[in-house]
Amino acid sequence: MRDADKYWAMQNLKRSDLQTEGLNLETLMEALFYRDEFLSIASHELKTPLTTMRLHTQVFKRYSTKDQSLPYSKDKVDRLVNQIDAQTSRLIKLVEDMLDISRIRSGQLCMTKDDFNVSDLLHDVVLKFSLNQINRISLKVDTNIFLWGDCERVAQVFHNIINNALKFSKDLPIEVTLIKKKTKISFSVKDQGHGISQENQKRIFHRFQRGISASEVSGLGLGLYIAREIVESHNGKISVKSCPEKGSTFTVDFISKDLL
Amino acid sequence: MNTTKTILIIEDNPDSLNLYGEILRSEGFNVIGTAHGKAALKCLEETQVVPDLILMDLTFPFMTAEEFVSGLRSIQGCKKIPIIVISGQIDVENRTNALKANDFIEKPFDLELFLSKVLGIVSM
Repeated sequence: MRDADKYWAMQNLKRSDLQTEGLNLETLMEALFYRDEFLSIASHELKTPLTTMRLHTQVFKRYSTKDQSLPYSKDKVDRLVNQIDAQTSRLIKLVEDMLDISRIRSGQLCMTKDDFNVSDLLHDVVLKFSLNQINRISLKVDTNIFLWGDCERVAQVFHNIINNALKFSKDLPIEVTLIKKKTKISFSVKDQGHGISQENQKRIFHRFQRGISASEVSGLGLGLYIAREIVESHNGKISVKSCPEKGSTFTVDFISKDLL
Repeated sequence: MNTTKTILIIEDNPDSLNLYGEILRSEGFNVIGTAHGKAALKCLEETQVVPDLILMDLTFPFMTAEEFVSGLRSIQGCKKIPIIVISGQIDVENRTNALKANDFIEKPFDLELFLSKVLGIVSM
């Protein structure tokens, strides 16, 4: 823990007060550290799409102020507008992730459950990635598997895990599998990325935690925590098997609807 | 404007990379875009291009910004290439100093600031 955090914590908390409340000073100081780190990462993540949107706007404004028409073809204008749209979506996703954390903490992560075709859902999720990313995905899906659950939230789980695998596995291919075995529906994603140490495997499903340093990858470090909460609210289980430098396999096991 | 001047950009967000490239090309620069430090080093070693300026993020996959700068400085002809750091991290100034980079631009920034910092270095 940084000295500044320690100092701040010591200044604001009295050990005797904590003991009275049954709290542990080290745990609280650790929580403060992760909160501050999260705020730092979140501000950075929010600034990137904001910068892109601001620059696009100012490029348009530059020509508008000079009363000049943009020296861009229609295709190029379309591409720029699509980029602004993509950054807006990225901002919305970041804000939604932060709101989900708040909902989880307050027990308000609501699920609207129904019977849905999870095989089709996985295909839909994959198709929303970029063409370059889709080309790296090897997809093996048993057809017409049905699951009782919240379709949008399960899509969020699929997206978060696939997105992590793409992000952490250099430019290498990943394998995405969905199979039904008797009572179990298993979704797994295998990558050939950095891998995760035994120590980190224990904490990556917690809030604000990552398998590798925040300085190496973008993101809030919330994806797996949100995924775990959603999976557990479907009575499922999320797990990881990994070997440093050899890659990781994330598996989500849902119980088949027939048993519910 | 000397149109032969080349700027290498390292940015792992493709939209940001494209946008910085578009803006600089419209100012007459030759732009090389890379998604991370490892790709940038490979590009410099293979093409033997010596850019007039490097614009780099502090966060990208596969290696740290410090490892990139260390690798860069070990390449013949790249020891003195000016660097501008572009980042939204709160400690951007300290990290810029630690990297011995020439300047930094803190996100979110204005188009005019971006161009003035770039032109301030490449037209020196």
